[in-house]
Amino acid sequence: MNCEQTRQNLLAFLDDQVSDAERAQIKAHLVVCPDCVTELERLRTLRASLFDAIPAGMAQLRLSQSASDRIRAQLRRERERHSLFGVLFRKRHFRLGWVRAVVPIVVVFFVLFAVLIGPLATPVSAQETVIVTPAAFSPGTDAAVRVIVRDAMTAEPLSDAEVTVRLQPENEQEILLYTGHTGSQGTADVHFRVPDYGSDYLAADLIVNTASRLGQDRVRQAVILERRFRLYLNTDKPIYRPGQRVYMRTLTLESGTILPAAGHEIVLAIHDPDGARLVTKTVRASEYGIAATDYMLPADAVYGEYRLTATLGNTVSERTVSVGQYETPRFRVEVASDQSYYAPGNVVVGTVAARSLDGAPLSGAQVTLRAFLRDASGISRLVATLQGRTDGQGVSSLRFGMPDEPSTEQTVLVLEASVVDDEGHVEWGGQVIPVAIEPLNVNVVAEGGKLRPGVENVLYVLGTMPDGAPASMVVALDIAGQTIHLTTDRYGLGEVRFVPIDRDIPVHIVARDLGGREVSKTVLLSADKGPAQLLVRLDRAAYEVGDAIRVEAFADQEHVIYLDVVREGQTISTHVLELEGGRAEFALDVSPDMVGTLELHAYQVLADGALVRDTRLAVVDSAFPVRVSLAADRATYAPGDVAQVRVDTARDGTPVQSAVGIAVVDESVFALEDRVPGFAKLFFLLEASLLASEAQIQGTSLLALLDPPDVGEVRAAQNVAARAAWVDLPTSEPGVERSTSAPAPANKWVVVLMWGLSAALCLIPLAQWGIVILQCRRIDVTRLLVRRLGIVLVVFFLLAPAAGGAIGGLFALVGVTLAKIALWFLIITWFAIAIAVGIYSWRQQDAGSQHMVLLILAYGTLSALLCNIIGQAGDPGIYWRLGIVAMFLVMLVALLVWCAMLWLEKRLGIAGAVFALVLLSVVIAILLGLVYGADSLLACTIGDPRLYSGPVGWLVACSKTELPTRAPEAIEATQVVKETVVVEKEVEKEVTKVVEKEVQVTASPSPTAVPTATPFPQPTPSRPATRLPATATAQPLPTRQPTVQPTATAAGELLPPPLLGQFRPETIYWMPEILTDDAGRLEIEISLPDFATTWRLTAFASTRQGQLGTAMTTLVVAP
Amino acid sequence: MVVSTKELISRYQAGQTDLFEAIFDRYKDYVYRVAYSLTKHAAESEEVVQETFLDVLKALSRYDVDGAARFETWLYRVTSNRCKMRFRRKQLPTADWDEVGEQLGNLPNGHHKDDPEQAAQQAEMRRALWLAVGRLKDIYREVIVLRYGQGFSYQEIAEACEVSIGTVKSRLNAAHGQLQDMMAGDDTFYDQAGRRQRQHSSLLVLLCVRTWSAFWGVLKTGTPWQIKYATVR
Repeated sequence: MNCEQTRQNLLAFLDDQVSDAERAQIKAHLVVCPDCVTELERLRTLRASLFDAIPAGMAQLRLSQSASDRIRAQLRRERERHSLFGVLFRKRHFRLGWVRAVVPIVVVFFVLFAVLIGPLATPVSAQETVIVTPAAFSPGTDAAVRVIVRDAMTAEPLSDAEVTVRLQPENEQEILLYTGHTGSQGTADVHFRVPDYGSDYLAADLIVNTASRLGQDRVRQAVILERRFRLYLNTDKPIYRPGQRVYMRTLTLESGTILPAAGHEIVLAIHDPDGARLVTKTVRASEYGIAATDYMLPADAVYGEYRLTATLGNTVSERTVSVGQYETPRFRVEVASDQSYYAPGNVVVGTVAARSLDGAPLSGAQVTLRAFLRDASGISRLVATLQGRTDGQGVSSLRFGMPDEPSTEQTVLVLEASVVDDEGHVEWGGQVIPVAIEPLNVNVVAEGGKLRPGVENVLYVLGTMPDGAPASMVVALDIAGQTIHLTTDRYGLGEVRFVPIDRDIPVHIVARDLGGREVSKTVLLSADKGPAQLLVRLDRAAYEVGDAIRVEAFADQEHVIYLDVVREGQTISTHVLELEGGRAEFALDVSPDMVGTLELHAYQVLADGALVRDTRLAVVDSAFPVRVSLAADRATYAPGDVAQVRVDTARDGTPVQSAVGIAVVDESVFALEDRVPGFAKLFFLLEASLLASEAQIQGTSLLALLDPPDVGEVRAAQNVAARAAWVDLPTSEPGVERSTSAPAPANKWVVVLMWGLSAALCLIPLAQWGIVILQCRRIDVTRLLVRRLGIVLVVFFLLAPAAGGAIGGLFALVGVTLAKIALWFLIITWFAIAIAVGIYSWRQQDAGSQHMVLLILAYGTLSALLCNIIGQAGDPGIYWRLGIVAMFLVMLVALLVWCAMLWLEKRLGIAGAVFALVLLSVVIAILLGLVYGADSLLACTIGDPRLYSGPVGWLVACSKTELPTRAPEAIEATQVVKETVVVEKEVEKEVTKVVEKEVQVTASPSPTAVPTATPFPQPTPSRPATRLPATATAQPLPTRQPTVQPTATAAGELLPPPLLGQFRPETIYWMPEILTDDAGRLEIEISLPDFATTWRLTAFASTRQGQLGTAMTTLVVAP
Repeated sequence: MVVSTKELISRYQAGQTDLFEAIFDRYKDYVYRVAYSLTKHAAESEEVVQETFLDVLKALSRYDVDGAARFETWLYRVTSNRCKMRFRRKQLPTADWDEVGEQLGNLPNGHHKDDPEQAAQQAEMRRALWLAVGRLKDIYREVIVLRYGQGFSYQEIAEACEVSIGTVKSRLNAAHGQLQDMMAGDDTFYDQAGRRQRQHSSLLVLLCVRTWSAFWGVLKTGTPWQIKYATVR
């Protein structure tokens, strides 16, 4: 080390700031270099002097007391500026202090604003409008719509609410249908005439506006104005040979008005068995709604079932006729038995009678009788084969024993007789007789289909003999521990009144009839386990115009019962039934516009908006149908005669002009197949589903019910039976539209306020983030913070869904009331924690925490305010709502970051409090969404637990499924309504098709189609009078007075004379539409062909008002 | 018991903001001195003190108590930053500094109560040295004041001035060189200083060094070294 280097380091050497090596080198150099030693000494001197002088000088320097005091005061002021009072005066140091002043000012501003414009003055509530309406209306008819306005929270009906109903058809002007006010039951008597735009199908919107003191609603429901028709298609006969002419005739009535569909174009078509369309003809319906055509089947026509259709718009009516080679029977074979049912081991005694078509006995014919037992699955077993000859009366007796082994349920004995006359012709006859296992049948049916717990139910007891004949018997019923004794009347019917409990009840029945036969069985009556019970009872099943329907209703919930009368899917009147002690009574006058099938929909709207309903059917007939009387001039005609027939149509004893369709057809053709005469009337009167069931309500035929007064007792019995039979029938369900207040609030300031509040709620989380980020800068250890934050977030995302799930469970467990209390408790706790954190932050003079707490409190207050306003004044709009929800979540994360920061600063207490605050916010939000009454759209949106399940939602899937969410439900409901409408339409079409087929089957002579499962008296072939009373007027005419003057003689459609070598004609007269004169009279001349047979003359009359009447008579041609 | 600065700051950061005044009282003179040494101006220094403490008030919550640096170095930095911001491109009069030097000259000295002449000499020496330091360039005066006024180690000076230790060394060397040159014209300085050194320690030290060196030489070479005696002037 040379001198220069050494001198560089001498000072450090003296200050002991050199390394050991340097020190050694310096020392070594100093030993040899005296100059450097001198320098060292000088330096040492200087250093010592400096150590003396500088501190001495420094000691002279003291901050003067005045400056010190001044600065201290300045600093104190500076620190005080962190406080609330200092913030306004802060000048130089911009530090978010303004937040502390601005936030309370904003909150106060909003609260004052809200108070000023007054929505807070009204109680927190909202109105709700429930609309029950069919989806389709018939133009030109009277219709009603059920509109209920009620308090959404308490479910109390709101009286004196303004209701306006408008219709907005597609591409048409909106028109006002109704305006009025609700009564004390919260419902307005909304009725109007459906406007007729002349089109058969028109989509429209039904707009219902309601306004009560609680708010306004605007409900829009899509409906269609649809003209529906019923097409009744008939032919001259059911079976044809190739080369014969098929005559078709349709009568078309509008479903809604039951008036003839005059002027509509009806498409008539015939399809061959392969489905190919043979002929299509478009015919305009006459003034009376009648359209007709005919078609000559080609000589080489394929054999099989031909489908005949009549189409108008969407409505298709269909019939099937057979085409084939057949022979008309030469004579008739009838089989009779001594009993109407047999038990195993019984001896069957009976007769086979053969008579020619004109009634002459056929003696000496060979008779073969075969007896089968056929079980439910259609498997037959031959029991006996008997041979014999008819005696002079044309009768051959039969006798054989039934096998002993017990038969199964629904087994029948089939007797099949073939008779061969001396010319070698074979004719068949048969009889089906039930085989009984039990000597008696007894059954119990609850009037509502299912037992309705808590209200008085009527149980119908039906006793029948195995053949279906009513059985009067003594019945003992064991129900739920009590025994009830009753005796069924001579129609086999009895009633028991019974209040069931909420579970399925087995009923043990012991029944004994007068003959000492006894049966016992157990029937399980299932109970309706719905939340509320409503039961409606009508006094009868069928009514006439002018009657009163007595409606009784029973309910276990004290809500008003709404009763809507629905006909053809359209509500025609609405009524309100007041409950007294769970029971209500009401008398409904039957007006002419109710003719047809009525559905009486009774329902209650429960507090939660759910509907509990019950529906009963009633059939209403017009009091005065058209009576058609046919008078032939002679009882018997000789071949080739001209018969003169007088047709009289009258209504209520007064002649009425009507259109009559007349056919004269060989009666033997009908021996093969036909519908029940008088079917047409039912066709127009009954709903399709009911018509289908008609096939099953044997013995309580509606014809019997509707048509003229039998003995009152019979009618009453049939009423009961029909009511019992209809309990399970499907009924149309009118669409229900529910709406809570949503539309535009009245006051524009409210909108401004809502927007302002929404904006504030969106901005506050941003401000919080700003504070959090500013605070983050203070902490340099970002990595540590991130780790803490991670832990906090994970804990949160685990706890939040758990809390949500727990609350959902709790909510289901404790119910709304307790949940509301819990909600209030939580809200108070939330504010308490927030205020505690605030106090802490103030005491600690922690500016960041103070800002955060202020913002949190402001958020809580403002969101409560907004929820409140939304609850009664509507919705700030979807975008605001979404924004608020998103920012709410953003705020939660900001608070969690803050929480992590506090944790990092080891301020565990306040960190825990903040975490609790965040968790409580979530819990409160969820509860707000769940608790009914607190549900505004906002609360629902924010409260959706799915929001909080976050990325670990799959861990707690329950929070997604278990919790009831309100909004989706509403959407579902509307969807369901739409679906039902569509389905109904389709079903209706199908049913119309099915119905006709079924009825044909029923009417066919083969009784095999008789369903024995029905618990009602089954038809006995021996009692046709009750089944076909319509034929009463058409029985062979008692008056044989010669026709007087051919006033309105119609030539009719004279058919070409039969050609030799061909088959005999079967339809000799066909007149689809001929008008009677003003006196309701018409005379026709019919040239009878020159062979002996019996002709059936049917007349089907319909008036311009749509009333119908049928009659039938026979013209006997004897040689 | 005196609470340590570290403890004070920790408590302040934990929320006891009242303690800021204690910190202020403890460090107001320090900050004033630092400011004075940098500005050489009393009134400006007071302003700097105020501004510095406002800065500290803002920044103290960010101060890392557990860090390696002493609070003084951090505070020095804050103060010097404040000074630099305040007097950027601004030349202040040095009258105040010189006034302190005059005060030093008139100050009675405790060590030499019994010897008025020596006391006067020492006071004169202090005055001369203070004025010399005042004439140093800012960067040299800074290190001199830190080294001798605050007793900072080289490391601490480096931290406070935010320079490397090498720079500190070279600045100190340069400062001392300049001071030596300045004091060279002052005869009394080295006479006095030299006398005092001789009286107290120079001979002894020299002897020790020589003896040790000789011993070291014997150790290294194995043969006794010729001992040179030199006289010190």
